[in-house]
Amino acid sequence: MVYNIVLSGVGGQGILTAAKVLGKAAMLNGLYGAVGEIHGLAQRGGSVIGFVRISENRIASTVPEGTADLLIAFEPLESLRYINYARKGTTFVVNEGKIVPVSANLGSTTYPPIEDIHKTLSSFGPCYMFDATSISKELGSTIFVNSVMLGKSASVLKSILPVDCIKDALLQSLPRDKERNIKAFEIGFNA
Amino acid sequence: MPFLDETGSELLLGNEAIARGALESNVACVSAYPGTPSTEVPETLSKYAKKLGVYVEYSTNEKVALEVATAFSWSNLRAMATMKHVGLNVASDTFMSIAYQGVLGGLVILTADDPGMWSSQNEQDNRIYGKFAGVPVIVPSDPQEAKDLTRISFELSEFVGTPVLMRTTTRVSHTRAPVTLGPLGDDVKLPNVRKGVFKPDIPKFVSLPANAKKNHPLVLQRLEKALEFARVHELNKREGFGKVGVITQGVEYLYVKEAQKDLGLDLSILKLDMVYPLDKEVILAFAKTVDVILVVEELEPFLEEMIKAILFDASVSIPVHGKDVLPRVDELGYWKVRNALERVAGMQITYADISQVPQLPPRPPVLCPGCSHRNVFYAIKKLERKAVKPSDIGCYTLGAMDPLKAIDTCIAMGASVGLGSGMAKAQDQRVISTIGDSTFFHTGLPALVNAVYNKSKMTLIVLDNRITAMTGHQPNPSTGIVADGDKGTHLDIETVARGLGADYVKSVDPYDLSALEEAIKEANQATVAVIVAKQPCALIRQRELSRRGEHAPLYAVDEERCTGCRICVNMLGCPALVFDREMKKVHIDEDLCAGCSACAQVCPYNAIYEMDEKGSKNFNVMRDDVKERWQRWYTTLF
Ligand SMILES: Cc1ncc(C[n+]2csc(CCOP(=O)(O)OP(=O)(O)O)c2C)c(N)n1
Ligand code: SF4
Ligand code: SF4
Repeated sequence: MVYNIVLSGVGGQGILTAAKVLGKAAMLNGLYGAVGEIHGLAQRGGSVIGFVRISENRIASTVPEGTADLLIAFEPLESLRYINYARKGTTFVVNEGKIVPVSANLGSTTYPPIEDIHKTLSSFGPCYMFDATSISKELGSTIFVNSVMLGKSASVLKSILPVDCIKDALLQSLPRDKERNIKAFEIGFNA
Repeated sequence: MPFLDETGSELLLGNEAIARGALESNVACVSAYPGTPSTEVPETLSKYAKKLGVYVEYSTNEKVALEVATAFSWSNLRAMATMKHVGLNVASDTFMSIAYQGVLGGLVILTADDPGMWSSQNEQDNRIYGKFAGVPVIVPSDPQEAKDLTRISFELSEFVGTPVLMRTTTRVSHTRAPVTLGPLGDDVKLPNVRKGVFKPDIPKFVSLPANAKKNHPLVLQRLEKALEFARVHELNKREGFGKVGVITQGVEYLYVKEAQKDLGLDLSILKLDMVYPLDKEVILAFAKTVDVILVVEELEPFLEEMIKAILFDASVSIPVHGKDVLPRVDELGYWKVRNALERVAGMQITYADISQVPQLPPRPPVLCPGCSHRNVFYAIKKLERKAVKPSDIGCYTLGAMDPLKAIDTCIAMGASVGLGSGMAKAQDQRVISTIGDSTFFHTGLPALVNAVYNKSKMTLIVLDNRITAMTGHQPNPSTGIVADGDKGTHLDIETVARGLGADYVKSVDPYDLSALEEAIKEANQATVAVIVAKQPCALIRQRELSRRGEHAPLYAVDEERCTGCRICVNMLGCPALVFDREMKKVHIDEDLCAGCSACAQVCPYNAIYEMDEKGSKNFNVMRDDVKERWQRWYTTLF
């Protein structure tokens, strides 16, 4: 069994932390979790991608194009940008909260309508779009987007990883504010 | 602290595993200059440096880092120097010499290569450095091996008496996977930094020509000994009995295994953990059992060429494939390796079903909101459009992007100053070079001396944000803090520039745009002018303020006053400035605004105000108390 997850979003949103949590959850569940990260420019508001592969044996961390089982996008535009990883049947978990790139502010490009993004993704497989940013803001800050997204993803991953494993891994990764993060996780799970 | 456990397993990044392997090897010193994808090795260790008996140092550049590590080795202690691939170019002078001189305590040099150039200016293949210098090259394929082979590298280094080059790639250094932990080195567990003893040995340590002549044959003898070590420790592993042979290494091995499984192929695989020197006997024995060989390696045909030479000498004539079926540029991956295997095995090629990505607004990395580099680029662009503007490597290289476009060149670290010095002689436009504080200390210094000495008319603006930001915020001499968090000596760049003989030296706060513009104008009177733009990295400052329970003021746009001219957006390109197309107004994203006020200073209609504590609008944004606040941020942050 190999289960391929692609995570994408904007630098600073916590994509790598989420990837690490899923990798850890796999490990807690007795599986091999390989997490692929790209560092360096991640903090600078650029597009970011991370991989998690869950398998019985050791495996390279890069998800081959056209093989993602699950694509988790922390920002709508960033789901489309990595559509080359999707296949027929890929599941999508997408945050609707937009972060407009500088190029679109300068007027040189335009941000595609959310409905179009949804339509494209749905032509591949089930697509769960919801506003994780607003949910997070209601809890006090955008920093909980991460936990909300993990919660929703956990509901998709039920047959691969027990929810409690993901929750435990999340708890272990949190230096502070455990309560609000777990709340965010649960709201995400039921979203 | 799970990282310091001595049993069980942990999910570790490849680089954390290397740090861990060094601790299990009882290392006494790890010295480094940061560089992606190598940085997490010293970063991880610096967190524990005070608790453990290991000296961790951020050196000013890679050459110095290697020399510091060499000092420990020559005092009979184990040491490691870490760097990114291009860092070894900087360290290469020392590297080539110590390969002749040899080591006492184990010395491992980590070069983290970056096939695919995820965060580098080239994708040079540093395995070649091992062959060039005559030192063994060890290549892990995943975090577990990264840890295990770090230990092996130290043993190899001591057994042979040579430095060992350990080469990872981004996909190994930045993969996180389960790693089994082992016991930590005995001395590492004691909190004191160890002291060794240096015993002079002139023929070994003084590379006069006569000594070097005697040392060169030793390099070759050591390579023979390395082969002996590799045989005993089984560093070259063979598996399978298929007639199609694959010789591979590193993460490429995992791509081969995955493709093999999916294709149901019967292969013979030779996986090399030591890729230099190559064991002729092993290659010939492998070749005897197969009909064809495919060499799977990223970048250069390093193994392929050596293997072909070995087979040629032994008159073995079986086909050897490599770069004829695999690209020589960029990293490899599952599909490239699978298709090469299909071709060599005579199978039908499976074309991957990969969807086209539609045309989307690009999202390249940008300078953070509140980054003071932006202000410097704004001022240069406003005043000196025609100037030649060499720049350097750091966050500020993003000054090349729209809408700033205020730098003309980026070559390699420190080159902004050397190139600027040359441009002053080569052409007639004004020269304005920009360089970061870390880069200034790394390799900017000798070039500035050159400009002063040769009277090259140029202005150098040092973007002193008091941190090495690009690589994830490591301290440097301008921070004045050393790797373990203790206070070191803070070097003030203004004082340094004066000492080097620049005839105009001025510190300015880049948040104060008019002061900055004034200095850029004034500097043109001088021969060598150095402007030190002092404002700490906004990302670090925001984090630190929130840690202290403080926050920077927020700015907002008055809708009545905003005419929608977009001057702020077009001149600054700050991610917090959002243009509303329907309203034809700008607004400031509260979640992003870092309170620098640059947009408020730039707006010709004075439409941007500071929100004060009570929520009222303060349109006078350049007050003395504001300037004092900025000053305080610079002086008290570290
Ligand atoms: C020889 C070499 N070593 C290391 C690096 C990695 N690297 C890229 S930028 C940078 C330093 C940036 O620091 P600074 O000059 O202070 O600029 P900042 O990012 O803080 O703006 C480093 C170390 C490199 N590119 N080349
Ligand atoms: S990390 Fe610091 S130096 Fe780099 S772009 Fe952000 S604010 Fe500027
Ligand atoms: S510069 Fe001033 S008036 Fe022009 S768009 Fe920006 S805020 Fe509005």
